[in-house]
Amino acid sequence: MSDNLVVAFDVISFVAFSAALFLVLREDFAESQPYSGIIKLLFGLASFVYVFVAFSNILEHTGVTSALDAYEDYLELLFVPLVAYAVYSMHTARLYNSARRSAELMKAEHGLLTTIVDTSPTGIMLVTSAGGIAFANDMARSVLGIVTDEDSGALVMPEDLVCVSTQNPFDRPLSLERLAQGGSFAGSVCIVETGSRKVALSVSASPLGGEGSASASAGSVVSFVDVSEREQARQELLDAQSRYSLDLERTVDERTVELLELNRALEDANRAKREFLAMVSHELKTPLGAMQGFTGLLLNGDAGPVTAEQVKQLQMVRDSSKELLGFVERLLEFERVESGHTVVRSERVTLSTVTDQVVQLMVPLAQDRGVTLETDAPDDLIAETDAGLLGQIVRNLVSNAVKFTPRGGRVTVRSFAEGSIAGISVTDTGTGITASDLGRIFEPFAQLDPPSGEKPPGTGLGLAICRELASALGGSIEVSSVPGEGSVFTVRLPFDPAAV
Amino acid sequence: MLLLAYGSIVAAYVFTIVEGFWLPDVMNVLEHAAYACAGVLAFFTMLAYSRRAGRVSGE
Repeated sequence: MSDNLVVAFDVISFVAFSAALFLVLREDFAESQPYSGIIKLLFGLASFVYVFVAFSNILEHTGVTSALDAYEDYLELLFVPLVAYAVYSMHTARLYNSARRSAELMKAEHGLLTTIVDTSPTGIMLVTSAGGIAFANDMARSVLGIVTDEDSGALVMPEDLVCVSTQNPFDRPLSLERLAQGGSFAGSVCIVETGSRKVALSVSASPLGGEGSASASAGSVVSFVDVSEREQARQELLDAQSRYSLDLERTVDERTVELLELNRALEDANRAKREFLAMVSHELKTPLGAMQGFTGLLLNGDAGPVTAEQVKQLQMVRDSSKELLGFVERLLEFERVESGHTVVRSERVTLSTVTDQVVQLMVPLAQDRGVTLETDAPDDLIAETDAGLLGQIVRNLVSNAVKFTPRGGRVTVRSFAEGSIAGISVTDTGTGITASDLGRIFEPFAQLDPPSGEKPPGTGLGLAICRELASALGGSIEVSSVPGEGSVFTVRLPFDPAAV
Repeated sequence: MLLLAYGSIVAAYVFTIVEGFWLPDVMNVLEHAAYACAGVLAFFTMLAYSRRAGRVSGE
């Protein structure tokens, strides 16, 4: 029984190892190149060993022959080393192929990087610690004229190549001695001159092995970009700015001369105008005064009796001459104020006194026009100013307010002090002033239409004179108005409470 | 699997040695059984390798 079992196992063994041998012989062990042949041989022999052993056992246990039994043991001794060496060869092949693939990959990457570096528009150069050029890409060779020395085969730069930094004329960014020491800088612009060529380069360098390299003289990786166009554009811009500045200065000088000449001409014209006004006013004043005087005599009957019609006509002459005389006097006053001939006599002035005097003077006119005139002035408000000129200003303002306030309206004169400013304001409930007129009412001869629709009263010089007088007193005059509701004119003067 | 096949061979050696001391018939049967087992494992080892190699080359 056991013999049959043994034979059966031997047959199974024979068939299995034969099949394994067949598979070994069929397999090319491509993964284990270049050791595939020897691996195949070793595994084949190992398989054959136990094919033989199984066959020998079959022959022995079936009683055919035991002649092969003697060789079994010898062959079995070979099995272990055969398998061991085959496995070892497979492992060696695996290592070899891995190293080969790594080398191929590295070669491909090196090729790719070399292509990228060579074709880069940035010039790239490696400088060794000895000051030699280990590598230069196409751009670096082209721009710097680097060539291979025929004798030594080393890369060399032209001896006449000079690279001067634009920031520091003593700096040489492309100096091989400096780069050999592991220089580190970025964006240093220098002008390279070699032979007849001249280009501007932006040069950067860092030590080989990176920043903080332990070696004191490790060489450098240098890169540069041609910035000639940028530098040229920058220089052109600087030149244009310089030219523009010069042109601007020249233009300003020319315009200044023109303005000065124009100013002189205007001053001459203004002076001529004032002189003419003064002359004409003086020349008119004398005959007008005579007209008034003689018409007065005739009306008084000093020259004899006059008829009622003559009286009426003489009164018309007197009124017209009086009106014309008033106009001439206003002209003279305006000329005197504008030319700066106003004499300011500062004194301690109680503002309520000024307002009261003006109101008393204007009461008849206000009553005649049906306008209420009132004051609001504290008695203890004292300012250092010219009472006469201030009174003239207030008188003009109150007169205008009464003329431009309809019957039943109100005009209020108020004095006040606010910090370093004291003033008098005249408020009316008249027709008001439009925004477009506000800008011109202080101009000479500017006149607005009164509410009654009649001819504008006055000469149009009142507010112009007020402005000049306020300026002479060191103050200002301003207006605010709402059309249809009224206006507020305010004259402001410097005020020092401690001084008074 | 190759390791198992080798282990079966080693087991067969052991059975061969024990056969001389104890239960000779049983050990003899076990020895040959171990050889058969080794053969089968060796066959499947090579079969698996062939298939894996074929899959890799097919990729």
